[in-house]
Amino acid sequence: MAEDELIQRSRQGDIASFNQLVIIYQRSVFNLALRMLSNAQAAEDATQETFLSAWKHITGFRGGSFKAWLLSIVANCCRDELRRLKRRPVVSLGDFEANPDSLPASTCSVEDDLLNLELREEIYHGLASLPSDQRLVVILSDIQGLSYEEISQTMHCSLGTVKSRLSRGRAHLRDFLKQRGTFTGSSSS
Amino acid sequence: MLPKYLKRDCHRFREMISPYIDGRITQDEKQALESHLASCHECRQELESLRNTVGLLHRLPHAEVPRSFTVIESKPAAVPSIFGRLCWASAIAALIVVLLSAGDLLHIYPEKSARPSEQLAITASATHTPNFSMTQKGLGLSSGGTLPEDISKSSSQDMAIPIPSPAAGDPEIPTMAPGPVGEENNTAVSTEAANKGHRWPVRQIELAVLGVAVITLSAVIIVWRRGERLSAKGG
Repeated sequence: MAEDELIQRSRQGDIASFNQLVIIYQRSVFNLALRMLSNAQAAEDATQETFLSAWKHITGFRGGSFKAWLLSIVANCCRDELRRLKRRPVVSLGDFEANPDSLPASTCSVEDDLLNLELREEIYHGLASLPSDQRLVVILSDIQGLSYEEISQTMHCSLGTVKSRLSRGRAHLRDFLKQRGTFTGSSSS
Repeated sequence: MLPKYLKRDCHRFREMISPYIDGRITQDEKQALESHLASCHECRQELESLRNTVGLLHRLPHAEVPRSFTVIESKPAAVPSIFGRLCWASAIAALIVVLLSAGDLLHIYPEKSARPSEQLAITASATHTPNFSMTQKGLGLSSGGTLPEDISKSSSQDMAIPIPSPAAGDPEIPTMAPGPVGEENNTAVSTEAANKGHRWPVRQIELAVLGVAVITLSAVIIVWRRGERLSAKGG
């Protein structure tokens, strides 16, 4: 069944159609939450909250990219969670954000072979070190593979803002990796 | 040798490198950047390092979901609309008003209590001819403060209860309703109940419920008209 039809049926209250959309997009939503929060349990909670919220407000979806709409919901959930942690740091935010050990081992697929574990952890640390708006745009563009237009829709900002945030985010990440010695400008993995 | 104006433009061109990697610059910008890159080693290094960074990010594995996130709860049960609630409220209020009014018209509620003296007279006329009369003072307590003997025993016969004459200075105490002593208690009890006038304030309740009915009915009309207007706009 086409996505548009699933969306249309979901808007009419068909939960089975909505759950088909959930199955299609749950991996993207969970991965965005995981990269933003760097904590599997928090990402799981954010993902569940996202789909419940999407189901409740499906009639408010006004067209465009459904994936971008879902990702905007999970991005808001993650922002709220990060804000909450800043206000009430039960654990240190730095530890929480940049703790790749909190990533579930079982979540890694065979693609892991493409990058060695150490380098991957450095990249996660680098992502966690970025300001949240730059981190979000880098994840959306370079990990989720969204277009500039979809990112603009997800983040509710202009294309110019997307370009500048992405440019700065990539540069910061590159600098971080260079400083950690795990990456040189001329090297190609 | 790199012209000076190109060196000065390095900062501007570097901002174009990221969208250049994504193919999101115009043809003119692309030509200008490529000609600059051809002559600027630093900007070429910048491009190379950013390309590598993006390449690493592209190769990051996607985590598998730990579980399914399908929504298992059904659509929340439809909450009765405010319109429906108002309709019910006004209907119930109107029904109560109708029932109360009908009851009032049929006189099923107790009449308003007569004045105590009238009630007393009515009760008295229904009793036997008085055999004696006595004052409350005499019936209640003897002069010594002790209770009189059980008067119910001698209810059917004439009694000679010593009734002390009121003292010269004593105020006159109203005479109790005459009658057989056995009925005296009953008479007193019924008089007391009548005097209390224990009945529902039907009229006030009617007015209050009528007010509620009018308010809810007005709200129903307002909500209904607003809904009509909105649906007309939607159509």
